Amino acid sequence: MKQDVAVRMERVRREYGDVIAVADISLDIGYGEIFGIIGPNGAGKTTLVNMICGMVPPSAGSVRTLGFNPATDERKLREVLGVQFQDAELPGAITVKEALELYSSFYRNPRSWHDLVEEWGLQQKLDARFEKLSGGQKQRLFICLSLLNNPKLVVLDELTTGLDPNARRQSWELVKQIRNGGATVLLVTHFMEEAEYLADRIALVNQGRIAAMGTPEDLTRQHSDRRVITFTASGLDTEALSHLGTVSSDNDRVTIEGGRFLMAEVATTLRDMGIDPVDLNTQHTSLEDLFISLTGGSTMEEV
Amino acid sequence: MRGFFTLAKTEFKLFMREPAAMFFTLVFPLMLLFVFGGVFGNEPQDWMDGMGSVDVSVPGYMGMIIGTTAIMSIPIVISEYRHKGIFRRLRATPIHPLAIIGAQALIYLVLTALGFIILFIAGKLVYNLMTPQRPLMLVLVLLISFLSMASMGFLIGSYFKTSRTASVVANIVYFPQIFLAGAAMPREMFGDTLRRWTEWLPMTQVTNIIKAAWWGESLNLWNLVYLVAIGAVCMVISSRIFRWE
Repeated sequence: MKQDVAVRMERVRREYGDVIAVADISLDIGYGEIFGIIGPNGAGKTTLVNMICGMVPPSAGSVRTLGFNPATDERKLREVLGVQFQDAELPGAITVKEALELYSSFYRNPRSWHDLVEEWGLQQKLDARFEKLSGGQKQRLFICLSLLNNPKLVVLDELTTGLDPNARRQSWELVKQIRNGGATVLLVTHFMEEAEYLADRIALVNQGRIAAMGTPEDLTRQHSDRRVITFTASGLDTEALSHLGTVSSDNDRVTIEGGRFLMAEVATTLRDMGIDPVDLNTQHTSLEDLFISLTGGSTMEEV
Repeated sequence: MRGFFTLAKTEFKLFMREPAAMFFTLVFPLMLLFVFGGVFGNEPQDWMDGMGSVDVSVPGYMGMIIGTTAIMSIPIVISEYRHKGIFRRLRATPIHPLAIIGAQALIYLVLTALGFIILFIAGKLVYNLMTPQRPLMLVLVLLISFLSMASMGFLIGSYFKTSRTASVVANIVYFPQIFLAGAAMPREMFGDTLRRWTEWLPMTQVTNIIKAAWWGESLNLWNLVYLVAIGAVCMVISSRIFRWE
């Protein structure tokens, strides 16, 4: 059956014994998209990736990846699938060149790795051992390996974890390049900023379910009625503002969260009270805020 | 079988970059040969049925080489490749899962054979080591011994989660057997009690059948049955508990 989407998951569930890693997830990833999956630790992201790549079968529901059933046609699927896993390594003593030659030998029609290393800036490192590479170089090597078979779908699992901000920015440009080369990209990340910058669409996963899905703009718009204002005022009775929203204060620093027109209302109320705050700020609602409100404050950070 | 030989070739190169593993497989047996050969020579002795000290020791060293690759190296590589996600990355390619395991089995078999050949040639040239009386039988016996020990090593590598614990266990299984099962030193030197107690070690079966084939004696069927059985049991258990990640 020809399928017009790169990945289709319908009511997918996966349990490990008593633990429910994925409770019920349905999603479509279109060809040519950069699709971001974000969520806190233990949300089920890796299990999701494992099912899409055919490393683990679903307990219930159906998964189609590039038109294949990943659980039964895993070797056909892997001819056209590229992956970079967050928790995979190569043997320490293997050189960059050996790794490229080895992984090329697994595919029916590999592309030339010479172009790839040039594109990804590894040509100086061909004889270096994997264990001697920097974090960024290892990541770039893994990306080269994932592109050897001209994949139609590239799965990047926590691509930039452990990279410094500079290297992270560079990786982002490279991910755009992959998509511009015609591949679909599935980007799994816990960096909100990364998903926001790169992804065409985002699925926010929490406790094995999709908490929200859409374009980054859609997702922030859903929460665009929320306003946050902070200012400094000494001797203010915060009770006097509590009808406008949720007020909290730290010494003289006051934070108030509320709905639309909060800015005007706060300004009017303060003027009536004869208070002139010099450093009044409004905060943008971001994906990060959305994330925190949807996941009930589970932390995004992992080490 | 696309990728299989490239994988095996690459794994072989990687082994050769591992100084400790290479030393114990290829060099250490030679050191034993030269140290004990240097001390005792290989003059025929009446009390050893006309064989020399080297003739008596070398078949045991062959058993030691099997122990080194099968019980020391295999568990470490299996647990390390799982623990570090090296298997996980390999599995995301079209290579057949059996080819991944097969490549490991093949290179350790080749390394074992290489260890045998180097030791045999050195023994022959320097000490005029006795030529095996039943060469084909010897090859067969070495192969059975390797497969049996390798499946034991595979079980250790499958059972223990990290390469650190797997290597501790491998040491516990390896070292006593090397000294008590007639590999590094002949069991003929032991007293009756120790001999009886070490009769049951898997490595004892290995050294017994290697010596029998080498010296042209008839093989003890019990030794063979024991090895085949233990190999089969370990293989069945490890195929059930083995995990790629």
